[in-house]
Amino acid sequence: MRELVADVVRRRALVAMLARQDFAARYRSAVLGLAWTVALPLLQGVVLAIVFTRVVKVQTDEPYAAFVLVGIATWSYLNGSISTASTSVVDGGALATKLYFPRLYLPAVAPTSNLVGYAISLSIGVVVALVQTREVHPQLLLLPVAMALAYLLVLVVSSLMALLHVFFRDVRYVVTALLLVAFYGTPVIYPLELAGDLAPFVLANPATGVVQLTRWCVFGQADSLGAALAWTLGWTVVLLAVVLRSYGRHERTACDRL
Amino acid sequence: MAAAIELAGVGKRYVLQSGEPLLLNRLRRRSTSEELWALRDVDLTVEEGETIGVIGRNGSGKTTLLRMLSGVSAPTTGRLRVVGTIAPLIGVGVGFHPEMTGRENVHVNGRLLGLTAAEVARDFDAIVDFSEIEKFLDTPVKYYSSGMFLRLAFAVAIHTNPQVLLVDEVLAVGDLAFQLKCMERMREVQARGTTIVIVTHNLQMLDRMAPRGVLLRSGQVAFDGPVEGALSAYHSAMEGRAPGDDTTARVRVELLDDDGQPTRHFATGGTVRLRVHADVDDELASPVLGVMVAPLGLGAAYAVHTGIGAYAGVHGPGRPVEAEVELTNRMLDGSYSVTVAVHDATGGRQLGASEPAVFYVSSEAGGAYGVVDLSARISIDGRTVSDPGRQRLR
Repeated sequence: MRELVADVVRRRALVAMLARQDFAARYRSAVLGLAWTVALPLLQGVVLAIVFTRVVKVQTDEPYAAFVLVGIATWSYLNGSISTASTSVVDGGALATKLYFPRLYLPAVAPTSNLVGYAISLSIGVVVALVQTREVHPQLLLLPVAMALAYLLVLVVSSLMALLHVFFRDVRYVVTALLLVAFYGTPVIYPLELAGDLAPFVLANPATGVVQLTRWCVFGQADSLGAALAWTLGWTVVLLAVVLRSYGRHERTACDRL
Repeated sequence: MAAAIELAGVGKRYVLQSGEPLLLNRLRRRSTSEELWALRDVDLTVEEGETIGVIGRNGSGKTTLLRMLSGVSAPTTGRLRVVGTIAPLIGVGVGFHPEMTGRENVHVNGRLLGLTAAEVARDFDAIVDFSEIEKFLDTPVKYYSSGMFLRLAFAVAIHTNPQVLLVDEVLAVGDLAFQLKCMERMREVQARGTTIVIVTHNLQMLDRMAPRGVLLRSGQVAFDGPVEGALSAYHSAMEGRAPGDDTTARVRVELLDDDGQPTRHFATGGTVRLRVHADVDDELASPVLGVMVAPLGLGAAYAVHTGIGAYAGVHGPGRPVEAEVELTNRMLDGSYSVTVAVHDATGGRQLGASEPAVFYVSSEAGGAYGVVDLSARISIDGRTVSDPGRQRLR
């Protein structure tokens, strides 16, 4: 395992490069390019903002449009990166069976290249929040920390799923199902205080901590931030240990199944 | 000299699962698995700077061996050690992104193969030069012809300057001129003291590049020694014959050029000369000699024997059969083997046969391909439009 970590650290530039290639290639062939990654969550946010202020009224301390845009920007990053990265080891099979490099790099590519779209979407949320609330909080400077936490969480979840997916091909559907449930189990479209009886479950969801931390940075306050963060960090540390252990043990037999 | 590659008792077991690898099946214990040993008890030591060729039929374990050497896959049993940096010339172009330009792909691929950014920058011109695709450097590689694509990919791979180079069936890249260039470059790499492991079906290339050959059969080393021996054993295996059972004559065949010098390379249109020497254990009168030529893996392309009673002579211990054979070379590019057998006077009983003697035929570039030169002459409306036979033999 120590060997694996050393290897991963030593050749980390490779991830950045693969991510850059992934990013450039993805947007080069689409005319509007990067605009799409930003436009889709934005559209989703706008629709949700309309539905939950005009059709169903959700009470939030913050202006709802800003509230939901910040949440959606974060959720889209988690959702998009995890669903792409969870199949990455199998998808990268052609490369992985020919060349040795730490397998952990494969699930790291999508989360890394998606950071750009994430930063832009989140910035739009922040601008809307500034316009609606006319308040700036010093915590805003900590927004990169929230993004880093999201990145880390996505990395550990994706890595684990990507390795499992090699051995069990139905894992991709499990991931889709989990993400579907997690969307409603994360305070994206509703504030945490409205969760009621379900609050413990929502709190235990590792995505909640990321969303709450992001809201705290933007709006200056968030419910049960400490508890949510503790859960997220706990999940991340445990999953990280599992990931390092399982890659250390299985990465050189995994390719026999690609 | 130190060993660059060391395998001791290496085996690789694959577990073949019937049914889809699904979580559900595992939970219901529905999937049954079957084991397959792709390699078993392989002992192999390659010295630093040595070049070896690995041959064997499909499924004999060549790919598994390369995968383990490249570190992608771990052995199930035994010990495997590779010293130094490894660059696999395996599946050239792997990791190339179709949407990216040639220039961008060179950078990414170089890094994937283990070069630093500075090294890629330093060797960039040499790589581009080698690939001969300068004009298309800023075109996405998806618009490349397959030849251009492979040339660029090979150029990157061959410039990585590793200590151990693994080569898998990649030298069949591009046109003849480019292949020669690749070969030349491989020789430079060889001269620099790089350890090279070549896996290929191109036996002619192997014969030119690797002094040592390893034949794999069903995952085990069936032969390890001078490349001629490996090639000969491979020919025997492909023809499904086991040499050396219950023979009373031991036949040796030497291949000679027009000046009587030993060679294994012949040109279409020339003559393939054989010198046959057979030691016989028992008294043998009026033997019948049989000669068979086979393109690799295709069985006999030509077989002939001397007429029964056409030769009257008595041989025995200390009085070997000495014969000379001249074959008109109508064969086309490829690797062939010739086997000579000694029969009794009736031709009904084979007393012994030589190991297949491997040789290679090269034709002039262009014109016909296949096994045999039938010298086609084609005329349309009474006018000769193509005369490949005459051109070739001129």
